[in-house]
Amino acid sequence: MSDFLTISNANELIRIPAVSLVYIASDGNYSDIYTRNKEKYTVTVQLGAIEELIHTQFHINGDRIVRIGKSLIINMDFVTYINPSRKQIILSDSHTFKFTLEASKEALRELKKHFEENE
Amino acid sequence: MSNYNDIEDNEIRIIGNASQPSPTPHKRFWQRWWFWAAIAAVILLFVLLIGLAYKSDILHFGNTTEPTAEESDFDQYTSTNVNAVSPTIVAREPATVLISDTVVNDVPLQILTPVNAVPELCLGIPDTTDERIILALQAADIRADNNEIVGAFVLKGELLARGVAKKGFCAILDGTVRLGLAESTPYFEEATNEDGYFFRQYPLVCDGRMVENKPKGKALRHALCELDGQVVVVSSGDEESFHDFAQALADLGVQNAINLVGKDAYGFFHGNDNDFQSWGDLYQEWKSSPYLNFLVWRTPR
Repeated sequence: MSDFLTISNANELIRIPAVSLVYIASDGNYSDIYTRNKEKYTVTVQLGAIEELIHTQFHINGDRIVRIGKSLIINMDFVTYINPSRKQIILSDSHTFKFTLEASKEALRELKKHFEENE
Repeated sequence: MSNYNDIEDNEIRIIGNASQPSPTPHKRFWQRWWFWAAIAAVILLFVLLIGLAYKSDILHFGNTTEPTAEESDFDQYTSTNVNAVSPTIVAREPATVLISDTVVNDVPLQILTPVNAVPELCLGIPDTTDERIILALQAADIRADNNEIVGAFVLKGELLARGVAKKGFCAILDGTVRLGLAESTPYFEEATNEDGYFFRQYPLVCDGRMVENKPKGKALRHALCELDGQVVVVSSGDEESFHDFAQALADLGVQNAINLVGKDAYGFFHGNDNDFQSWGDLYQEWKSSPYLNFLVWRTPR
């Protein structure tokens, strides 16, 4: 059984399988959730609150989700390229989607090191 | 995780598995820039407060009236008239202290005129029961950090302290008082050579003009003054700034005056009809300094 990220409010409910979650970007009080099928869901939830939801709702896939700095949460399963000096990270399934994102050098250096040491 | 917004842009954090350590261990508070910024701000604030307190007398918890390192703004002046003022002698009268009160520029002043007594310096608290001592006040300031006397101090020819931290001076030679303002004065050498007395304090009035001093803040003030050819002690009835006190002395007609230890400094006098009055506080730790010094007027034997 897969984990799901479930976000609900008075009007709507969003339910995204962990395996479909690619990344979440913060835009102040809003957060944009990007999925494998290139859908984008904008929710009025801060990134910290979403991180808390992931922490509590993901039981199997949680350790694959990583917070990068103040404004990004990514699914490490889709990381295909990291270049700290160019502050660039690419998330892709090598087939249907490719997202090129920007993050700090230090954070990307840490993420690169994490992959080198754990995979 | 108690605060999910607690992350910096240069950090990463594995979210889902709390038991698995993050590749970037969560930074301790002392590793964060804002912690050190806060420390720096606190230190800066502390330094500013110390500086402010030093300027406004707060740190000179009683042992000195004013900050010891401060100097007079009157550097460009030197006394032109240093008069030798002999003790006030009134024939066939006992030694006593004459008291008069006045108000100058809204500053209440009490003028103490010792009669038939000779001034000198002494170390330690004078014996209040000694009827030969008719007036005693603390003379030179004592440093808060080492309990030593501020500025040059000569006790019956013996040099106990050096320095010109304060440019006002009082020299007592054969019972005759000389008040002035000078960085260097021959009366210092004279005091050391002739068993005299010498100490330094803030100058308040020089040649009839008020002297501006840097220390601010208000306190009860005492001054050793040359007034109408007599040596008198003038005390403020209220807490006054240096400026207001010195201006009041100048307007009173004082020719030369230097400060004496004020605030809660100890002093006493024996007036007419065995009238004994004292002021200040004797029970403070700094008053155990071996250099606690007094200017006393004593009846000659």
